[in-house]
Amino acid sequence: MDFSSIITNMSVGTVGAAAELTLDPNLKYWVLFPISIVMILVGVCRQYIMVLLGLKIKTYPRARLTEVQYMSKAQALLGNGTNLCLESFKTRQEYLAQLLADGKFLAQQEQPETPPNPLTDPNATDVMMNMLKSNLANYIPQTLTMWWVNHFFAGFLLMKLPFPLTIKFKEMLQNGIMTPDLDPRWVSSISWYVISTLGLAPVTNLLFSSNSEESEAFAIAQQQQQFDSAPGAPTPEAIMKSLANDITIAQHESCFDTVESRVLNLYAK
Amino acid sequence: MNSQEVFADIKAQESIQSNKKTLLYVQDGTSLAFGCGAGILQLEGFQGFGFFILSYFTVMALYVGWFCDFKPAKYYQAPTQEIIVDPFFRELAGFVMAWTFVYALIG
Repeated sequence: MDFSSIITNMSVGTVGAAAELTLDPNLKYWVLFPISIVMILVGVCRQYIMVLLGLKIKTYPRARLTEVQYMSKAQALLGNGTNLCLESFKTRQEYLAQLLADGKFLAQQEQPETPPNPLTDPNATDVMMNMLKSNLANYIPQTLTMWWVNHFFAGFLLMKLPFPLTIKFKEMLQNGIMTPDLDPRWVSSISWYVISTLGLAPVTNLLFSSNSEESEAFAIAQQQQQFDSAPGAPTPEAIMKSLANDITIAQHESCFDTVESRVLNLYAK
Repeated sequence: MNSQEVFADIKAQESIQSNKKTLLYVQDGTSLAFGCGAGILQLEGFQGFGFFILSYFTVMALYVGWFCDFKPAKYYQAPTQEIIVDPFFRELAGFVMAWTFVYALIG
């Protein structure tokens, strides 16, 4: 179907400059619906492409896992030490302080002189590749749909917006329409593209909220974050040293210390 | 340090995520539905935006009352920020899209 043959009938109103146009109703069925459906389908495809790209689960050497787990063990002791009795707290405190100060489970025993170049480090390039891929998965479909809309649906008015716009929007939204005095509320198909790009997020959420793949991927990414040390972050060695210091000076307070008075307080009212 | 204070501050990341998801689902659905409503009513200009503000805050009040038992602080770390401010422009865009679409279809 030749879209340029759809004629936009114009009947200029008599009242002042406010022009009332009558649009061909076929515009709705042959322009508005196709653009909307394509936008939603592109969103669906992008969702699945993102899932496919994000599937790769990274692995880490055992030494690195041990290192991270000993650090979280120290943090757990600092956070939840109140649940232990004094004796077991002391035992763990001594053991962990000693171990962390020695750096027994450090994955990388001797530090290289210079910080590794992020461009040659294979892990860093992996992260950058992933970022690049997700960016491309966002931009390529957008560029393609925009080109498609501009190429096939240019040169006529599609719809009337329900809200007034300033004259500045005229150039952008009435691109290719030779009517210098037309109210900018009458817009061509590219503006419907813009509006639906902005407003598509809720629709995608409603369509996809049933599958929880996104949240699972999010959880995995969160888990991985503690293993990936960002360039510029403190080295594991420094973190271990500071944790050892924290543990050495940690004061033990059991959760049972004043439990009688707290229980009495709780039921006093 | 009072240990009761310590235990009051424990947060479960999964629950935080799921609470946010519930809120987002409710707000997305209602803003699209009210957008369609505004289109069917053929509202124009500030009437439509007023309709959005009205519906947004009504839905928020109902959500806080019905889902949160009037205690949003129990379910969200920063209630005002997370319930009102963060999703505002997302919902506004969804509303405007549905409104424009239905307005053009019917008008």
